[in-house]
Amino acid sequence: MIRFSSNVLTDIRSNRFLNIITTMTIALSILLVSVFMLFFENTGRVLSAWNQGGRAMVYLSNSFTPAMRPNVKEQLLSMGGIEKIVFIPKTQALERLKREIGSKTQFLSTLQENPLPDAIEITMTTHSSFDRIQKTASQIEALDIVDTVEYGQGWLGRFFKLFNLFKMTGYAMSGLFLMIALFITANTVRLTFYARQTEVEIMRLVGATDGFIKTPFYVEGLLQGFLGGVLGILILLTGYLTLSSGISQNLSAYVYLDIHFLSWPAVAIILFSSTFLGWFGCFISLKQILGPWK
Amino acid sequence: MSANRGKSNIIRLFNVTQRYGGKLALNNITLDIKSGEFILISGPSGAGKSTLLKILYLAEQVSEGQILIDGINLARISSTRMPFLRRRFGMVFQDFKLIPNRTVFDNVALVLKVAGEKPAYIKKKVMHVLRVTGMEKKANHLPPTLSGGEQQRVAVARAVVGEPAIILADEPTGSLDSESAQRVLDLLSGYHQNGATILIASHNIEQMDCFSRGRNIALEDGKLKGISTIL
Repeated sequence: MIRFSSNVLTDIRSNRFLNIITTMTIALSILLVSVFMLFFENTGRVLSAWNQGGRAMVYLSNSFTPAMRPNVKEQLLSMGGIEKIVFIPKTQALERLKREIGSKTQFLSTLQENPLPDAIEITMTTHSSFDRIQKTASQIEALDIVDTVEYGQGWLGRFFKLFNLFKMTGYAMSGLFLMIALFITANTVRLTFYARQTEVEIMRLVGATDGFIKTPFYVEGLLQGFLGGVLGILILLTGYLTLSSGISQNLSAYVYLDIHFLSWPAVAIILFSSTFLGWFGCFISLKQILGPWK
Repeated sequence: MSANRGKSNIIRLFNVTQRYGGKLALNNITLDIKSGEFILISGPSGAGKSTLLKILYLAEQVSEGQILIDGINLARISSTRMPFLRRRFGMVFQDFKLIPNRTVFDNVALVLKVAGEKPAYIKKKVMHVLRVTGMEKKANHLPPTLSGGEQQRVAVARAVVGEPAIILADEPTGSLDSESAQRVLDLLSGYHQNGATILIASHNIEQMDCFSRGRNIALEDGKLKGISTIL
Protein backbone atom coordinates (compact mmCIF):
# COMPACT_ATOMS: atom_id res chain seq x y z
CA MET A 1 0.00 0.00 0.00
CA ILE A 2 2.93 2.30 0.70
CA ARG A 3 4.22 2.16 -2.88
CA PHE A 4 0.88 3.38 -4.17
CA SER A 5 0.65 6.33 -1.79
CA SER A 6 2.72 8.84 -3.78
CA ASN A 7 0.82 8.02 -6.98
CA VAL A 8 -2.49 8.22 -5.12
CA LEU A 9 -1.67 11.71 -3.87
CA THR A 10 -0.67 12.73 -7.41
CA ASP A 11 -3.95 11.35 -8.77
CA ILE A 12 -6.01 13.06 -6.05
CA ARG A 13 -4.36 16.37 -6.92
CA SER A 14 -5.01 15.94 -10.62
CA ASN A 15 -8.71 15.11 -10.02
CA ARG A 16 -9.14 17.59 -7.22
CA PHE A 17 -12.62 18.78 -8.14
CA LEU A 18 -14.14 15.31 -8.41
CA ASN A 19 -12.54 14.23 -5.16
CA ILE A 20 -13.83 17.29 -3.32
CA ILE A 21 -17.36 16.69 -4.61
CA THR A 22 -17.31 13.06 -3.50
CA THR A 23 -15.87 13.89 -0.08
CA MET A 24 -18.46 16.64 0.47
CA THR A 25 -21.30 14.31 -0.59
CA ILE A 26 -20.18 11.70 1.89
CA ALA A 27 -19.72 14.40 4.55
CA LEU A 28 -23.28 15.70 4.09
CA SER A 29 -24.77 12.20 4.15
CA ILE A 30 -22.82 11.36 7.28
CA LEU A 31 -23.91 14.65 8.82
CA LEU A 32 -27.58 13.83 8.27
CA VAL A 33 -27.19 10.33 9.64
CA SER A 34 -25.22 11.69 12.62
CA VAL A 35 -27.94 14.26 13.41
CA PHE A 36 -30.46 11.44 13.64
CA MET A 37 -28.09 9.37 15.75
CA LEU A 38 -27.47 12.32 18.07
CA PHE A 39 -31.20 12.88 18.49
CA PHE A 40 -31.93 9.21 19.12
CA GLU A 41 -29.01 8.79 21.52
CA ASN A 42 -30.11 11.75 23.65
CA THR A 43 -33.83 11.00 23.47
CA GLY A 44 -33.18 7.38 24.25
CA ARG A 45 -31.20 8.40 27.30
CA VAL A 46 -34.01 10.66 28.55
CA LEU A 47 -36.63 7.99 27.98
CA SER A 48 -34.46 5.47 29.71
CA ALA A 49 -34.25 7.80 32.72
CA TRP A 50 -38.01 8.18 32.71
CA ASN A 51 -38.38 4.42 32.61
CA GLN A 52 -36.18 3.93 35.63
CA GLY A 53 -38.35 3.25 38.64
CA GLY A 54 -41.44 3.85 36.52
CA ARG A 55 -44.41 4.36 38.81
CA ALA A 56 -48.04 3.49 38.69
CA MET A 57 -50.95 4.38 40.94
CA VAL A 58 -53.40 1.55 41.60
CA TYR A 59 -56.81 2.82 42.76
CA LEU A 60 -58.66 0.21 44.78
CA SER A 61 -62.39 -0.39 44.79
CA ASN A 62 -64.71 0.16 47.78
CA SER A 63 -64.58 -3.56 48.58
CA PHE A 64 -60.96 -3.25 49.70
CA THR A 65 -60.28 -3.57 53.43
CA PRO A 66 -56.97 -3.15 55.29
CA ALA A 67 -57.07 -6.86 56.17
CA MET A 68 -56.59 -7.65 52.46
CA ARG A 69 -53.26 -5.84 52.34
CA PRO A 70 -50.91 -8.85 52.79
CA ASN A 71 -52.82 -10.86 50.19
CA VAL A 72 -52.84 -7.98 47.69
CA LYS A 73 -49.13 -7.38 48.25
CA GLU A 74 -48.38 -11.04 47.59
CA GLN A 75 -50.45 -11.00 44.41
CA LEU A 76 -48.70 -7.89 43.10
CA LEU A 77 -45.19 -9.13 43.86
CA SER A 78 -45.92 -12.44 42.13
CA MET A 79 -46.46 -10.56 38.85
CA GLY A 80 -42.75 -9.69 38.72
CA GLY A 81 -41.06 -6.43 37.78
CA ILE A 82 -42.31 -4.60 40.89
CA GLU A 83 -39.64 -3.22 43.15
CA LYS A 84 -41.65 -1.36 45.79
CA ILE A 85 -45.27 -1.28 47.01
CA VAL A 86 -46.62 1.55 49.17
CA PHE A 87 -50.19 1.47 50.46
CA ILE A 88 -51.86 4.87 50.63
CA PRO A 89 -55.06 4.78 52.68
CA LYS A 90 -57.78 7.24 51.68
CA THR A 91 -57.20 9.37 54.77
CA GLN A 92 -53.52 9.77 53.90
CA ALA A 93 -54.47 10.55 50.32
CA LEU A 94 -56.80 13.33 51.47
CA GLU A 95 -54.05 14.85 53.63
CA ARG A 96 -51.67 14.71 50.67
CA LEU A 97 -54.25 16.42 48.48
CA LYS A 98 -54.77 19.20 51.06
CA ARG A 99 -51.01 19.78 51.11
CA GLU A 100 -50.83 19.95 47.31
CA ILE A 101 -53.80 22.31 46.97
CA GLY A 102 -52.34 24.62 49.57
CA SER A 103 -54.50 27.52 50.77
CA LYS A 104 -57.61 26.57 48.81
CA THR A 105 -58.75 23.73 51.06
CA GLN A 106 -62.03 25.35 52.15
CA PHE A 107 -64.12 23.43 49.65
CA LEU A 108 -62.80 20.14 51.07
CA SER A 109 -64.33 20.89 54.48
CA THR A 110 -67.78 20.91 52.85
CA LEU A 111 -67.40 17.26 51.83
CA GLN A 112 -69.38 14.89 54.00
CA GLU A 113 -67.18 11.93 53.30
CA ASN A 114 -63.73 11.29 51.84
CA PRO A 115 -64.21 10.79 48.10
CA LEU A 116 -60.71 9.47 47.52
CA PRO A 117 -60.16 5.72 47.23
CA ASP A 118 -57.51 3.63 48.90
CA ALA A 119 -54.54 3.36 46.61
CA ILE A 120 -51.27 1.55 46.12
CA GLU A 121 -48.21 3.29 44.68
CA ILE A 122 -46.11 0.82 42.74
CA THR A 123 -42.49 1.41 41.71
CA MET A 124 -41.31 -0.80 38.84
CA THR A 125 -37.80 -2.21 38.73
CA THR A 126 -35.05 -0.18 37.04
CA HIS A 127 -34.92 -0.38 33.21
CA SER A 128 -38.47 -1.61 32.94
CA SER A 129 -39.61 -0.84 29.44
CA PHE A 130 -42.85 0.98 28.74
CA ASP A 131 -44.27 -2.26 27.34
CA ARG A 132 -43.40 -4.04 30.57
CA ILE A 133 -45.15 -1.38 32.65
CA GLN A 134 -48.17 -1.58 30.34
CA LYS A 135 -48.36 -5.35 30.67
CA THR A 136 -48.08 -5.28 34.46
CA ALA A 137 -50.75 -2.54 34.64
CA SER A 138 -53.12 -4.72 32.59
CA GLN A 139 -52.53 -7.66 34.95
CA ILE A 140 -53.18 -5.46 38.00
CA GLU A 141 -56.32 -3.97 36.47
CA ALA A 142 -57.70 -7.48 36.04
CA LEU A 143 -57.74 -7.99 39.83
CA ASP A 144 -61.24 -7.70 41.38
CA ILE A 145 -60.26 -5.23 44.04
CA VAL A 146 -58.65 -2.81 41.57
CA ASP A 147 -60.63 0.00 40.03
CA THR A 148 -58.12 1.65 37.73
CA VAL A 149 -54.37 1.86 37.18
CA GLU A 150 -52.75 5.17 36.20
CA TYR A 151 -49.18 5.20 34.76
CA GLY A 152 -49.24 8.07 32.32
CA GLN A 153 -50.40 5.74 29.58
CA GLY A 154 -52.12 8.60 27.84
CA TRP A 155 -49.30 10.97 27.00
CA LEU A 156 -46.38 8.58 27.64
CA GLY A 157 -47.85 5.92 25.38
CA ARG A 158 -48.39 8.50 22.64
CA PHE A 159 -44.86 9.82 23.09
CA PHE A 160 -43.31 6.37 22.78
CA LYS A 161 -45.34 5.64 19.65
CA LEU A 162 -44.29 8.95 18.13
CA PHE A 163 -40.68 8.36 19.10
CA ASN A 164 -40.66 4.91 17.50
CA LEU A 165 -42.27 6.28 14.36
CA PHE A 166 -39.69 9.03 14.19
CA LYS A 167 -36.94 6.49 14.76
CA MET A 168 -38.17 4.33 11.85
CA THR A 169 -38.42 7.39 9.62
CA GLY A 170 -34.92 8.38 10.69
CA TYR A 171 -33.56 4.95 9.79
CA ALA A 172 -35.30 5.03 6.42
CA MET A 173 -34.03 8.51 5.59
CA SER A 174 -30.52 7.67 6.77
CA GLY A 175 -30.54 4.60 4.59
CA LEU A 176 -31.74 6.68 1.66
CA PHE A 177 -29.05 9.34 2.09
CA LEU A 178 -26.35 6.71 2.43
CA MET A 179 -27.57 5.07 -0.80
CA ILE A 180 -27.44 8.43 -2.55
CA ALA A 181 -23.89 8.98 -1.28
CA LEU A 182 -22.95 5.48 -2.46
CA PHE A 183 -24.24 6.10 -5.99
CA ILE A 184 -22.56 9.47 -6.23
CA THR A 185 -19.28 7.94 -5.03
CA ALA A 186 -19.59 5.12 -7.57
CA ASN A 187 -20.29 7.64 -10.31
CA THR A 188 -17.34 9.80 -9.34
CA VAL A 189 -15.07 6.77 -9.46
CA ARG A 190 -16.42 6.00 -12.91
CA LEU A 191 -15.69 9.56 -14.06
CA THR A 192 -12.22 9.44 -12.53
CA PHE A 193 -11.59 6.12 -14.20
CA TYR A 194 -12.63 7.43 -17.60
CA ALA A 195 -10.46 10.50 -17.05
CA ARG A 196 -7.55 8.11 -16.49
CA GLN A 197 -8.54 5.55 -19.07
CA THR A 198 -5.39 6.03 -21.12
CA GLU A 199 -3.27 5.42 -18.08
CA VAL A 200 -5.25 2.31 -17.14
CA GLU A 201 -5.00 1.02 -20.71
CA ILE A 202 -1.25 1.45 -20.68
CA MET A 203 -1.00 -0.25 -17.29
CA ARG A 204 -2.91 -3.20 -18.69
CA LEU A 205 -0.65 -3.37 -21.74
CA VAL A 206 2.50 -3.56 -19.65
CA GLY A 207 1.05 -6.41 -17.61
CA ALA A 208 -0.51 -4.76 -14.56
CA THR A 209 -2.85 -7.03 -12.66
CA ASP A 210 -6.36 -5.96 -11.72
CA GLY A 211 -5.18 -5.51 -8.15
CA PHE A 212 -2.39 -3.15 -9.24
CA ILE A 213 -4.83 -1.07 -11.26
CA LYS A 214 -7.64 -1.03 -8.72
CA THR A 215 -5.65 -0.48 -5.52
CA PRO A 216 -5.00 3.26 -6.06
CA PHE A 217 -8.73 3.76 -6.70
CA TYR A 218 -9.58 1.85 -3.53
CA VAL A 219 -7.11 3.91 -1.53
CA GLU A 220 -8.69 7.07 -2.92
CA GLY A 221 -12.14 5.77 -2.02
CA LEU A 222 -11.06 4.93 1.52
CA LEU A 223 -9.53 8.39 1.93
CA GLN A 224 -12.62 10.11 0.55
CA GLY A 225 -14.86 8.09 2.85
CA PHE A 226 -12.75 8.72 5.93
CA LEU A 227 -12.30 12.43 5.28
CA GLY A 228 -16.00 12.74 4.50
CA GLY A 229 -16.83 11.09 7.81
CA VAL A 230 -14.44 13.32 9.74
CA LEU A 231 -15.82 16.42 8.05
CA GLY A 232 -19.42 15.40 8.74
CA ILE A 233 -18.68 14.81 12.41
CA LEU A 234 -16.79 18.10 12.72
CA ILE A 235 -19.73 20.00 11.22
CA LEU A 236 -22.06 18.23 13.64
CA LEU A 237 -19.77 19.01 16.57
CA THR A 238 -19.64 22.67 15.60
CA GLY A 239 -23.43 22.79 15.41
CA TYR A 240 -23.77 20.94 18.69
CA LEU A 241 -21.41 23.27 20.55
CA THR A 242 -23.12 26.33 19.12
CA LEU A 243 -26.69 25.20 19.77
CA SER A 244 -26.45 23.14 22.95
CA SER A 245 -25.36 26.00 25.19
CA GLY A 246 -28.12 28.19 23.77
CA ILE A 247 -30.79 25.53 24.27
CA SER A 248 -29.68 24.80 27.84
CA GLN A 249 -29.74 28.50 28.73
CA ASN A 250 -33.15 29.20 27.20
CA LEU A 251 -35.00 26.06 28.33
CA SER A 252 -33.34 25.27 31.67
CA ALA A 253 -36.05 27.27 33.51
CA TYR A 254 -38.74 24.96 32.10
CA VAL A 255 -37.14 21.57 31.77
CA TYR A 256 -33.90 19.89 32.68
CA LEU A 257 -32.03 19.06 29.47
CA ASP A 258 -28.72 17.27 29.47
CA ILE A 259 -27.69 16.97 25.81
CA HIS A 260 -24.60 14.94 25.11
CA PHE A 261 -22.59 14.67 21.90
CA LEU A 262 -22.27 11.29 20.23
CA SER A 263 -20.50 8.65 22.25
CA TRP A 264 -17.06 7.44 21.15
CA PRO A 265 -18.40 4.08 19.96
CA ALA A 266 -20.99 5.94 17.84
CA VAL A 267 -18.27 8.17 16.35
CA ALA A 268 -16.15 5.10 15.59
CA ILE A 269 -19.11 3.40 13.90
CA ILE A 270 -19.80 6.50 11.80
CA LEU A 271 -16.17 6.81 10.70
CA PHE A 272 -15.98 3.13 9.88
CA SER A 273 -19.23 3.34 7.93
CA SER A 274 -18.15 6.39 5.94
CA THR A 275 -14.79 4.81 5.13
CA PHE A 276 -16.54 1.64 4.04
CA LEU A 277 -18.97 3.71 1.97
CA GLY A 278 -16.07 5.33 0.10
CA TRP A 279 -14.46 1.99 -0.59
CA PHE A 280 -17.71 0.23 -1.52
CA GLY A 281 -18.60 2.93 -4.04
CA CYS A 282 -15.25 2.24 -5.70
CA PHE A 283 -15.75 -1.47 -5.58
CA ILE A 284 -19.13 -1.57 -7.31
CA SER A 285 -18.00 0.94 -9.93
CA LEU A 286 -14.74 -0.81 -10.83
CA LYS A 287 -16.44 -4.19 -10.90
CA GLN A 288 -18.63 -2.93 -13.74
CA ILE A 289 -16.00 -1.15 -15.78
CA LEU A 290 -12.95 -3.41 -15.45
CA GLY A 291 -12.62 -6.87 -16.91
CA PRO A 292 -9.88 -8.99 -18.50
CA TRP A 293 -10.58 -7.69 -22.00
CA LYS A 294 -11.51 -4.15 -20.99
CA MET B 1 16.47 -12.45 -24.06
CA SER B 2 16.00 -15.93 -25.61
CA ALA B 3 19.06 -18.13 -25.72
CA ASN B 4 17.47 -20.43 -28.32
CA ARG B 5 17.67 -18.03 -31.20
CA GLY B 6 16.11 -19.45 -34.36
CA LYS B 7 15.56 -22.84 -32.79
CA SER B 8 11.97 -22.89 -31.47
CA ASN B 9 8.65 -21.36 -32.47
CA ILE B 10 7.86 -18.61 -30.01
CA ILE B 11 4.63 -17.57 -31.75
CA ARG B 12 2.29 -19.92 -33.58
CA LEU B 13 -0.97 -18.98 -35.25
CA PHE B 14 -3.43 -21.62 -36.44
CA ASN B 15 -6.31 -20.54 -38.70
CA VAL B 16 -6.71 -17.25 -36.92
CA THR B 17 -9.71 -15.16 -37.98
CA GLN B 18 -10.74 -11.86 -36.48
CA ARG B 19 -14.17 -10.39 -37.07
CA TYR B 20 -15.55 -6.98 -36.23
CA GLY B 21 -19.26 -7.35 -36.77
CA GLY B 22 -19.60 -8.66 -40.30
CA LYS B 23 -16.16 -7.48 -41.43
CA LEU B 24 -13.17 -9.83 -41.53
CA ALA B 25 -10.05 -8.03 -40.27
CA LEU B 26 -7.98 -11.23 -40.41
CA ASN B 27 -8.90 -14.22 -42.48
CA ASN B 28 -7.54 -17.67 -41.71
CA ILE B 29 -3.95 -16.78 -40.84
CA THR B 30 -1.56 -19.62 -40.09
CA LEU B 31 1.95 -18.60 -39.19
CA ASP B 32 5.01 -19.67 -37.21
CA ILE B 33 7.57 -17.24 -35.84
CA LYS B 34 10.84 -18.50 -34.42
CA SER B 35 12.53 -17.16 -31.34
CA GLY B 36 14.95 -14.35 -32.18
CA GLU B 37 13.47 -13.64 -35.61
CA PHE B 38 12.81 -10.25 -37.10
CA ILE B 39 9.38 -10.11 -38.76
CA LEU B 40 8.12 -7.22 -40.82
CA ILE B 41 4.34 -7.26 -41.21
CA SER B 42 3.62 -5.19 -44.27
CA GLY B 43 0.57 -4.23 -46.25
CA PRO B 44 -1.59 -1.25 -47.12
CA SER B 45 -3.92 0.45 -44.62
CA GLY B 46 -6.67 -1.90 -43.52
CA ALA B 47 -4.64 -5.00 -44.37
CA GLY B 48 -4.87 -6.24 -40.78
CA LYS B 49 -1.35 -5.43 -39.55
CA SER B 50 -2.43 -3.69 -36.33
CA THR B 51 -5.15 -6.28 -35.72
CA LEU B 52 -2.59 -9.07 -35.85
CA LEU B 53 -0.41 -7.33 -33.28
CA LYS B 54 -3.43 -6.56 -31.03
CA ILE B 55 -4.45 -10.18 -30.77
CA LEU B 56 -0.85 -11.17 -30.04
CA TYR B 57 -0.51 -8.80 -27.09
CA LEU B 58 -3.96 -9.75 -25.83
CA ALA B 59 -5.57 -6.39 -26.46
CA GLU B 60 -8.41 -8.29 -28.14
CA GLN B 61 -9.86 -11.75 -28.00
CA VAL B 62 -9.50 -13.72 -31.23
CA SER B 63 -12.76 -14.66 -32.98
CA GLU B 64 -11.55 -18.00 -34.37
CA GLY B 65 -8.40 -20.05 -34.41
CA GLN B 66 -5.66 -20.69 -31.93
CA ILE B 67 -2.60 -18.77 -30.87
CA LEU B 68 0.33 -20.18 -28.93
CA ILE B 69 2.79 -17.82 -27.30
CA ASP B 70 5.87 -19.64 -26.04
CA GLY B 71 3.77 -22.81 -25.82
CA ILE B 72 0.88 -21.13 -23.98
CA ASN B 73 -2.51 -21.45 -25.70
CA LEU B 74 -4.22 -18.07 -25.45
CA ALA B 75 -7.68 -19.67 -25.64
CA ARG B 76 -7.03 -21.54 -22.41
CA ILE B 77 -5.43 -18.76 -20.44
CA SER B 78 -7.34 -17.52 -17.40
CA SER B 79 -7.97 -13.83 -16.82
CA THR B 80 -5.69 -13.87 -13.77
CA ARG B 81 -2.76 -15.17 -15.85
CA MET B 82 -3.21 -12.70 -18.70
CA PRO B 83 -1.19 -9.86 -17.10
CA PHE B 84 1.76 -12.22 -16.63
CA LEU B 85 1.66 -13.24 -20.29
CA ARG B 86 1.48 -9.59 -21.37
CA ARG B 87 4.76 -9.03 -19.51
CA ARG B 88 6.49 -11.25 -22.06
CA PHE B 89 5.89 -8.53 -24.63
CA GLY B 90 7.32 -5.09 -25.07
CA MET B 91 5.13 -2.82 -27.15
CA VAL B 92 5.84 0.27 -29.20
CA PHE B 93 2.94 2.19 -30.76
CA GLN B 94 2.61 4.82 -33.41
CA ASP B 95 0.98 7.18 -30.89
CA PHE B 96 3.62 6.33 -28.23
CA LYS B 97 1.02 5.67 -25.47
CA LEU B 98 2.93 7.39 -22.70
CA ILE B 99 1.18 8.56 -19.53
CA PRO B 100 1.25 12.33 -19.95
CA ASN B 101 1.26 13.33 -16.28
CA ARG B 102 4.05 10.92 -15.26
CA THR B 103 7.73 11.62 -15.88
CA VAL B 104 9.83 9.78 -18.44
CA PHE B 105 11.37 7.81 -15.58
CA ASP B 106 7.96 6.82 -14.17
CA ASN B 107 6.65 5.81 -17.58
CA VAL B 108 9.55 3.45 -18.15
CA ALA B 109 9.60 2.27 -14.54
CA LEU B 110 5.92 1.27 -14.71
CA VAL B 111 6.83 -2.01 -16.41
CA LEU B 112 9.08 -3.01 -13.52
CA LYS B 113 6.71 -1.68 -10.84
CA VAL B 114 3.84 -3.86 -12.06
CA ALA B 115 6.25 -6.80 -11.95
CA GLY B 116 6.89 -6.02 -8.29
CA GLU B 117 10.59 -5.20 -8.62
CA LYS B 118 12.45 -3.38 -5.85
CA PRO B 119 13.03 0.39 -6.14
CA ALA B 120 16.83 0.12 -6.30
CA TYR B 121 16.68 -2.40 -9.14
CA ILE B 122 14.08 -0.32 -10.96
CA LYS B 123 16.25 2.78 -10.78
CA LYS B 124 19.30 0.93 -12.09
CA LYS B 125 17.47 -0.72 -14.99
CA VAL B 126 15.50 2.35 -16.01
CA MET B 127 18.53 4.63 -16.05
CA HIS B 128 20.40 2.02 -18.10
CA VAL B 129 17.77 1.84 -20.84
CA LEU B 130 17.34 5.62 -20.82
CA ARG B 131 21.10 5.90 -21.36
CA VAL B 132 20.95 3.41 -24.24
CA THR B 133 18.07 5.29 -25.85
CA GLY B 134 19.73 8.65 -25.26
CA MET B 135 16.99 9.92 -22.93
CA GLU B 136 18.90 9.89 -19.65
CA LYS B 137 18.97 13.66 -19.32
CA LYS B 138 15.21 13.90 -19.79
CA ALA B 139 14.30 11.41 -17.06
CA ASN B 140 12.35 14.00 -15.07
CA HIS B 141 10.57 15.53 -18.04
CA LEU B 142 6.91 14.98 -18.84
CA PRO B 143 6.12 13.40 -22.22
CA PRO B 144 4.20 16.37 -23.66
CA THR B 145 7.39 18.44 -23.34
CA LEU B 146 9.29 16.04 -25.61
CA SER B 147 9.46 15.85 -29.40
CA GLY B 148 7.86 12.94 -31.26
CA GLY B 149 11.18 11.23 -31.76
CA GLU B 150 12.07 11.60 -28.09
CA GLN B 151 8.70 10.25 -27.00
CA GLN B 152 9.12 7.23 -29.22
CA ARG B 153 12.59 6.59 -27.78
CA VAL B 154 10.99 6.65 -24.32
CA ALA B 155 8.40 4.18 -25.61
CA VAL B 156 11.21 1.93 -26.86
CA ALA B 157 12.90 2.22 -23.47
CA ARG B 158 9.67 1.14 -21.80
CA ALA B 159 9.28 -1.73 -24.25
CA VAL B 160 12.74 -3.15 -23.53
CA VAL B 161 13.31 -2.38 -19.84
CA GLY B 162 11.62 -5.61 -18.73
CA GLU B 163 13.84 -7.63 -21.13
CA PRO B 164 10.87 -9.18 -22.91
CA ALA B 165 11.32 -12.09 -25.24
CA ILE B 166 9.09 -10.48 -27.87
CA ILE B 167 8.95 -6.84 -28.96
CA LEU B 168 5.95 -5.73 -31.00
CA ALA B 169 5.99 -2.39 -32.76
CA ASP B 170 2.93 -1.03 -34.53
CA GLU B 171 4.00 1.62 -37.05
CA PRO B 172 6.71 2.85 -34.65
CA THR B 173 8.00 5.42 -37.12
CA GLY B 174 4.63 6.50 -38.51
CA SER B 175 4.62 9.93 -36.93
CA LEU B 176 8.37 10.61 -36.97
CA ASP B 177 10.74 12.43 -39.28
CA SER B 178 13.24 10.25 -41.11
CA GLU B 179 16.15 10.92 -38.76
CA SER B 180 14.13 10.12 -35.63
CA ALA B 181 12.62 7.11 -37.37
CA GLN B 182 16.03 5.71 -38.21
CA ARG B 183 17.22 6.26 -34.64
CA VAL B 184 14.25 4.30 -33.26
CA LEU B 185 14.73 1.47 -35.73
CA ASP B 186 18.45 1.32 -34.93
CA LEU B 187 17.54 0.88 -31.26
CA LEU B 188 15.15 -1.95 -32.07
CA SER B 189 17.74 -3.51 -34.34
CA GLY B 190 20.20 -3.44 -31.47
CA TYR B 191 17.81 -5.41 -29.28
CA HIS B 192 17.20 -7.85 -32.09
CA GLN B 193 20.90 -8.50 -32.31
CA ASN B 194 20.81 -9.27 -28.59
CA GLY B 195 18.30 -12.06 -29.25
CA ALA B 196 14.86 -10.48 -28.99
CA THR B 197 12.09 -11.55 -31.33
CA ILE B 198 10.91 -8.39 -33.10
CA LEU B 199 7.66 -7.94 -35.01
CA ILE B 200 7.18 -4.59 -36.71
CA ALA B 201 4.00 -3.64 -38.52
CA SER B 202 4.81 -1.03 -41.12
CA HIS B 203 3.98 -0.06 -44.67
CA ASN B 204 7.51 1.34 -45.12
CA ILE B 205 9.77 -1.57 -46.09
CA GLU B 206 12.66 0.65 -47.13
CA GLN B 207 13.32 1.80 -43.57
CA MET B 208 14.04 -1.78 -42.43
CA ASP B 209 17.54 -1.95 -43.90
CA CYS B 210 19.06 -1.79 -40.43
CA PHE B 211 17.78 -5.29 -39.74
CA SER B 212 20.30 -7.78 -41.10
CA ARG B 213 17.88 -10.56 -41.87
CA GLY B 214 14.30 -11.58 -41.26
CA ARG B 215 11.03 -12.23 -42.99
CA ASN B 216 8.43 -10.01 -44.55
CA ILE B 217 4.85 -11.19 -43.99
CA ALA B 218 2.61 -9.37 -46.42
CA LEU B 219 -1.05 -8.97 -45.60
CA GLU B 220 -3.86 -7.75 -47.81
CA ASP B 221 -7.52 -7.50 -46.84
CA GLY B 222 -6.83 -9.62 -43.77
CA LYS B 223 -5.29 -12.49 -45.76
CA LEU B 224 -1.75 -13.72 -45.91
CA LYS B 225 -0.54 -12.56 -49.29
CA GLY B 226 2.99 -13.86 -49.07
CA ILE B 227 6.08 -14.48 -46.98
CA SER B 228 9.50 -13.46 -48.22
CA THR B 229 12.97 -13.33 -46.75
CA ILE B 230 14.60 -10.00 -45.98
CA LEU B 231 18.34 -10.09 -46.73
